[in-house]
Amino acid sequence: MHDDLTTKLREEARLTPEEIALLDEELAKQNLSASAVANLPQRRPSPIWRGSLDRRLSDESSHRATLRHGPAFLAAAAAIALGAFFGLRNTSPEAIGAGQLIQWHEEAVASSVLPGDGANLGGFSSPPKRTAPQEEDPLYDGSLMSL
Amino acid sequence: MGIASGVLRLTGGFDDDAGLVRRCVGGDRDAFGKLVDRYSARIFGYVSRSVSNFDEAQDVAQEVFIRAFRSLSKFDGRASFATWLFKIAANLCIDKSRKRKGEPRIMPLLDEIAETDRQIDTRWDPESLAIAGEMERAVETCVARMSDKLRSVLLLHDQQFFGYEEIAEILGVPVGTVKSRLYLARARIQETIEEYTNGGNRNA
Repeated sequence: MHDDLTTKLREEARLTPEEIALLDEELAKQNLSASAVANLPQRRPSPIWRGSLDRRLSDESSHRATLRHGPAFLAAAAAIALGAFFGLRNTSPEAIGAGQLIQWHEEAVASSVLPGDGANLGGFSSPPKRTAPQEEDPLYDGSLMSL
Repeated sequence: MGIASGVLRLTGGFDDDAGLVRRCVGGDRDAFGKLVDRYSARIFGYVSRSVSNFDEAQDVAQEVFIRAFRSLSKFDGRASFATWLFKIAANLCIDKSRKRKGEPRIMPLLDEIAETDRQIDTRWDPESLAIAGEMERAVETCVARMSDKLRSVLLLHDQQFFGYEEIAEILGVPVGTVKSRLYLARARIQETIEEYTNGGNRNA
């Protein structure tokens, strides 16, 4: 092959149709090199390699299944949670057990009489109750000394 | 004919690549296992001569199949499955090559490759056998020392038997470039063989 064509090949420059035809001819003459490469020993992966690949593929399948079914699972869980929430809110008082009502009542009472929580000071701020005037004791002159 | 074809059908003998891919996309993982069986030796043969050492070759070959499995739904069937798979392999090898630039390339000795399936005619006399082994080693060394560009074309054409157009598709280069690289790569092999037959390598 001409040196200038070899240079063009090395530079991967565009070839003319004539040069391409010449290259095809030269390639056809390189049988010895081609067969030397074709006859190199085959290399095969080991059974350990295959086992490891199978495990990775299995993991990949599980991951894909999670990605595929995960959103549907989350949506179903959310629907159940919402259903339970709104179902409880819409329950009529008759449907609530007496025990539950009593418990709620006791909790409410307990929270209203907790000492020192500042919630029950209103009662102290009200004016003292007026009582009916009592009749004076004729034996008592109003002095403590006589006692 | 009926029994034979029936047995083949039952054992999946008529499963072509496209059919197996369709089954894989439909969730049949065994079908992908068949594709691995079919291509693992070829992919490993290509990758093991394209990366720096045997361990790396095992990792890269696994990665080829994992990536193929992940993106199987994107396989549109315009090219053959083999072309598509080797495109993944070639890209991974190029990535590895870019990452190791500057690092010394560890060339595996033939003896280190336990899984090598040697196909040497045992009818040869021991001396011929030894010479064939030395020649083989010289060619292996020459292939390992080539640039990535030349080596990939050489292996895809002369070892994996892809056509020019398929190699152009795999490597993303024009057909003319494939031919140019193949000519230069074979010329290197030719030089190696000539050096060897002239006694250069045998005295080394």
